[in-house]
Amino acid sequence: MNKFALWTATIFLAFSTLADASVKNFTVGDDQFTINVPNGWQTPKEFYGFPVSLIGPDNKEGHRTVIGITPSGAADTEKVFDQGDKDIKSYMSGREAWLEKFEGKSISYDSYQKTKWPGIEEAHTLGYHYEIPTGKFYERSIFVLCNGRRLYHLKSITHSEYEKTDNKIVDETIKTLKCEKTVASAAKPATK
Amino acid sequence: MKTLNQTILSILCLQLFIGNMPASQAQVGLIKTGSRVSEQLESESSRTPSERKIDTAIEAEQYVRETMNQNELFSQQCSTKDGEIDESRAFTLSTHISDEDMQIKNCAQERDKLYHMNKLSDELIAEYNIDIETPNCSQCSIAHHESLKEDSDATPPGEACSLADQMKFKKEPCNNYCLWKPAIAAATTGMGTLLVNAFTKGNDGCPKTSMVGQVSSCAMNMVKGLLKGIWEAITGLTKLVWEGLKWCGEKVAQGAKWLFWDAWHKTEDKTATNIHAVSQADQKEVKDYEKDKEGWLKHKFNQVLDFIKELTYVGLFERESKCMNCAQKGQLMCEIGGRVASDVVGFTFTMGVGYGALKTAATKLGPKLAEVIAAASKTLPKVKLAGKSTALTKAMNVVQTKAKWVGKAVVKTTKPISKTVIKSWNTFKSGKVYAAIMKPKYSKVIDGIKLTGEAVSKSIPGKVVISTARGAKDAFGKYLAFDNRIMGAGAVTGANLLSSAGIGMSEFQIARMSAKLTEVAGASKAGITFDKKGNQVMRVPTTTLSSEQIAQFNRAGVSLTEVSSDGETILRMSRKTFRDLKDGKFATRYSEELGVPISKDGTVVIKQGSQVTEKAVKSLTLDEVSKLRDQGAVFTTKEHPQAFKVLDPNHLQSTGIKVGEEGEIVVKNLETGTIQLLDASKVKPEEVKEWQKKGFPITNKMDSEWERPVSKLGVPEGDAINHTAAAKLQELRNSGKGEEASKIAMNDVEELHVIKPSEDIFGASQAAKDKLESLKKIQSKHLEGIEGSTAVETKYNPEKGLLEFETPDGVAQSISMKKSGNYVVESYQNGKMAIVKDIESGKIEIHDFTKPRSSKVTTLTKNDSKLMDEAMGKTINGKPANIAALDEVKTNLELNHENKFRIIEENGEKKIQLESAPECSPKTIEIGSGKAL
Repeated sequence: MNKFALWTATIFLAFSTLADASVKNFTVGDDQFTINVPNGWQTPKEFYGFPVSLIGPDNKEGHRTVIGITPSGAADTEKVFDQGDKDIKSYMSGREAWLEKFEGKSISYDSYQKTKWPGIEEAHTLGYHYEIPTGKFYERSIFVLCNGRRLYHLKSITHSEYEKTDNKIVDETIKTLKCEKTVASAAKPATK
Repeated sequence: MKTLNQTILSILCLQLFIGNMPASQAQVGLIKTGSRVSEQLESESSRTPSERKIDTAIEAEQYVRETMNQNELFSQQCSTKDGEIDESRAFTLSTHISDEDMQIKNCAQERDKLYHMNKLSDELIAEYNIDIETPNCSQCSIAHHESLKEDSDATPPGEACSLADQMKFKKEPCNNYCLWKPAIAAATTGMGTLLVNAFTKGNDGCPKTSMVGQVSSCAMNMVKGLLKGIWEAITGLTKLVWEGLKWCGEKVAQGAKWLFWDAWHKTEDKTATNIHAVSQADQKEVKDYEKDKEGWLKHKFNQVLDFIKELTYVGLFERESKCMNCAQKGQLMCEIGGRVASDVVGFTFTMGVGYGALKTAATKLGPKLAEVIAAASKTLPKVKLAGKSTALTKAMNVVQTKAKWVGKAVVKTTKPISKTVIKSWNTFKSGKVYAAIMKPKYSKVIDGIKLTGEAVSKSIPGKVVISTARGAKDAFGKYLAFDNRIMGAGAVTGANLLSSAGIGMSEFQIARMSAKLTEVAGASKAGITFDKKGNQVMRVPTTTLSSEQIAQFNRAGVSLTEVSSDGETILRMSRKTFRDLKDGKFATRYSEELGVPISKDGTVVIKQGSQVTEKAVKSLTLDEVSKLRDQGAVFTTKEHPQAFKVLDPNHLQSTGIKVGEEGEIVVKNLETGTIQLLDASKVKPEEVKEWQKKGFPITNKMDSEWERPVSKLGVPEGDAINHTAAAKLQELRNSGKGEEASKIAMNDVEELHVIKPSEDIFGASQAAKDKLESLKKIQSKHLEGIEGSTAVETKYNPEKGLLEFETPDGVAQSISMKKSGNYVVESYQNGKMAIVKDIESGKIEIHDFTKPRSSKVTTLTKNDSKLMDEAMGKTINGKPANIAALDEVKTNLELNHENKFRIIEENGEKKIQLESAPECSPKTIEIGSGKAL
C-alpha cells in the first residue's frame, strides 16, 4: 500500500462517523434544529420526557450512549453564566446532591468551557465523571444559545466502557447541531 | 393518539384538579333523596381529603340502597321487554317532569355510571360483610365459617388481643376472603389502561371529571402517587418544570429573577435521572415506543403497579398492619401504594434498570419503606375490639367504624350493612338488569375451551370461569384470569384452543400463545402447529391481522412477522422468539406475571431442583413467596430450627404450581430455607408418624398421599430438555441407588444430585432409631397383652427395704428396693406386672409378679427410660406428652399463621399466646384520614 492510499484510509476512518450520519430536522420548544444523526442511532421524540433524544446502538453494558435535547426555559446566557466560579460550584454541588441520592460519587469534573461552532453562536459546557451502583458514567450538560434568544440544554451520557469510542461520536454529533429558524407560531421574544 | 405534550398537560391538570379544587365547589350536605345522590357524590369527589367530613359522608348501606334505586329507575326507562338495554333511549333521574333539577341523559351514559355504582356496591357488600358472605376457603388451614364458631371473650380495650382475636385476624390473609390483597389488585386492575386512556385520549388537556369517578379510593391514591412520582419521569419533564403551570392557567411569576442554577438543579436532576432510563432502553423498547406509545405507557404503568402489589408482602407492612382487619390492611396498602409510587418508585423507576431492579428496590429501600409505611399507618385506625359477644358479632363489630372513598363518594360505615339490604342486593344481582348492566360491552362469551386434557369451561357475563384439571391447565386458567385483569374482562374471545405435543414448550405456553392469538385476532378458532424442527406456525383461518394487531401481539411478547397465504394469515415466529422460548425467557416473563416460578421447560414448578440453595429460595419473588405462604410455607429460616413443613401437592397444584404428576411430596426445611421434593413411594406411613412425633408438622391431607405410587417425577412427557434428566434418574434407580434418588433438578441435568437418606434429612440418627426399636421389643415382650396401666400409691418400708403398694384389684404387693426414694409405680395386667420408675435416677424396673419376686426383668438407664417413654407415647421429644402436644399445637399455629407463639402459664394452666401480641387499643376513627400525599 502506498503512502497516499494509507493517508486516504486514515482520513476516511477519522471521518467515518460523519460519513455514516444522516441529517435530521426537529423542533424543540420554539426553534427548529438540524443535526447529523450517526448511522444506527435512534431518535425517538418525547421519550422519557426528552423532546428529542439521540440514542446509540445497544451494547453489552446495557447503557447506550444518549444525547438528550430539552429547552431550558432560560433566554439570557449572560445571566446564566455570569457568576463564574459560583456557577460552576453551584453545578457541582447540585451534582453531588444528585449522586448522594443514588449512592454514587463523583470521580472528576471537567472545567467549564465556552465555545461555538457553525450554527451555534454560543455553547457552555460542563461535565463530570461519576460512579453509581449501575456503573461509571461520563455526563455532560451543554447549553446552546439559539437564534440569540433561547437557551437549549443538551445532555449526553456515556458508559465508561464506551467513552473512548462514543465520546468522539458525541462530540462530532453535537457540533453538527444547528439552529435553523424560529417556529413561526411562537416567534416572539421569550420572557426574560 | 394524542401527543405526549397533551399528555403532560393532562397530568398537570389532573394534579391541579385533585389537589386544588376549591372547597366552595364541594360543599354538600347530607344526602337525602335518591335523585340527588348522583350530584352529591359528584360534588363530594371534588373535595380534597382534608375537606371531607363525616357529616358529608354517606353510609355504605345507603349507597347500596341508592344504587338499587337508580338501577330500578334505569330498568324502568332503559330496559326492553326482553330485558335487554336500549342505550338510545332517554333517561332522567327525576321522576317528576316539573323538577327543576331534572336532567336528561341517555341510557348509555346512565348505564356506564350504574356499571361503576354496581361494582362499588358489590365491593362494599363484600368488604363490610365479609364474615357473613364468605364461603369456606379451601386454601386456608381452617375453614372460615369455623373461625366464626370460635368463641372467646372479647379483648378488653387497651389489652392485648385475645388468642381468638389474634387467630381471627391471622386467618384473614387468605386471599379468598380477605380483601386487602384483592383491594390492591382491584385498584390496579386496568388502572394503567385507565390512566393511559385518560391522558392520551382527552381533548384539550384537562382530564374529564368522569375519569376521576372511575377509580376507587385506592386507585386514586396511587394515581396521585404515580402522577407525582412516575408520570413526570416518563413524560415531558422539562415542560412540567418550565411551562406546565402556564398551560393550566396558572400564572408564571413574571419578572421574577431566578438564580438560574438554583432553579436549574431540578431540571438538571430530572434530565440526569431520565437519561439513565433512556440509556437503558434497548432498541426494541424504543421501537415499541415509537410504534405504539400508548402500549408502551401501559406496559410501564403495569410494571409499577405490579411492584406496588408486591409491596403487600413486605414484612414491614405485615407488622404495621398486625392489628388491622382486612379492609384496613387494604386501606393502608393503598395509601402506601400512593406514597411509595410517589416517594420511592418514581425515584427508583428511571434509575432502576427495569422491573427486576424495582423488585430489588423493595428490599434495598427498607428504611425508606419503613418511613412511608409508618407514616401511612399512623393515619389509620387500629382494630376496635369491644363488647362481649360471639365471634360472629365481634366480627361485625370490627367492621363497624371505618371510612372508604368509593368512586365519587365518600362512604363510611358506622354500622354493618343490614342483612335485609344484603339480601335485596343479592336478589337484584341475580336479576336480568344487573347482568345486562354489568355485561362488558365488547365481551364475547367463551363458549368452549378445549385443551389437550378434559378442561371444562363455561362463562357468565363479564366473568370468565374456567374449571380445569391440574397443572398446566390450572395455570392456564390462572393465565386467563390474569389476562382478563390486564386486558379487561371478556378480552379473551371465544376460543377452541388446540395444542400439539410440545418440543420444549409446555402446554401452558402453547395455551398462552393460543389465547393471545385468538384475543388479538378475534378469531373464533385458532390452530397452532409446531413442527419438530422448531418452526412454529400459527394459522388464523380467514383472518388477516392488521398491523396494529401484529403490534399487539408483539407487545404481548410474541415476536411475529406476517406471511400471507391463501385464505389465511400465517404468523411465523422468529427464530429469536423461539430461542427465547427454549431459553426460558418467555417463561420468566410469565413467571413474573403469574407470580409463580416456571422452569426453562415451561412447566410451572416450585423451585424443586435438588438441593435448592438458600440463595435460590431467596431468589423467589415476593409474589412467589406469597403464593407459597398461602400454601403454608413459612419463609423464616432461623426461627424454627427443627421444623420441616410438608407442602400439600394438591394445594400447590391448585395454584398452578406443579409438583409432580403423582403427588410427590414437597417439604421445606425451615432451617436451611431449602425446598425439597420427596418421592412419595419411598416414605412409609410409620415414618410419617415418626416425623409427627418429632414435631414435624404434616398437613392433614398428607396421610393419604404417602402411599401413592410415583411413576414419574414431574418430568413432562415430550420434553426434550428433561428427558435426559429423567433417563439419568432411571439409571440411578436401576443401579440400586434409586431409593436415594428422590429428587431431581428440573432445570438442568447438570444439577442432578442424590438425596440423602430420609433419616439424615430429619435429624434422627439410625442408632437412636435402632435403640428405640430394641426397646420396643423389650416392651412388647414383657407387656404383651397389657391393656392400659394404672399408677398406684406406694410406700417405702425402710426397715424391710420394700416398696409396698396395692394393685387396683386389692392385691398387696411389695418390691425389694435398696433405698428409699421417689418412685412411680404403674401396675399392669391386674397387678400381675409393674413398672417402677425411680424419678431421681431415671432407672426403670419391670417386675413380673407371676414369677419369683426377685425376678427383675430389666433395668433401664435414664436415657433408656426416656426412649421408653417415647416408645410408649408418654413423652414426645423428651417432654411429657401433654406439654409436647401443646408444643405441637404451637408449632402448627406458627406454621399456619406465620407468626411466633409462646406458651405461658396462667393460674396453673398453660396457654398459647402470640409472642408479639400486639396492643389493640381502640382509637377514634378519622374519616378520610391520611389521604393526602
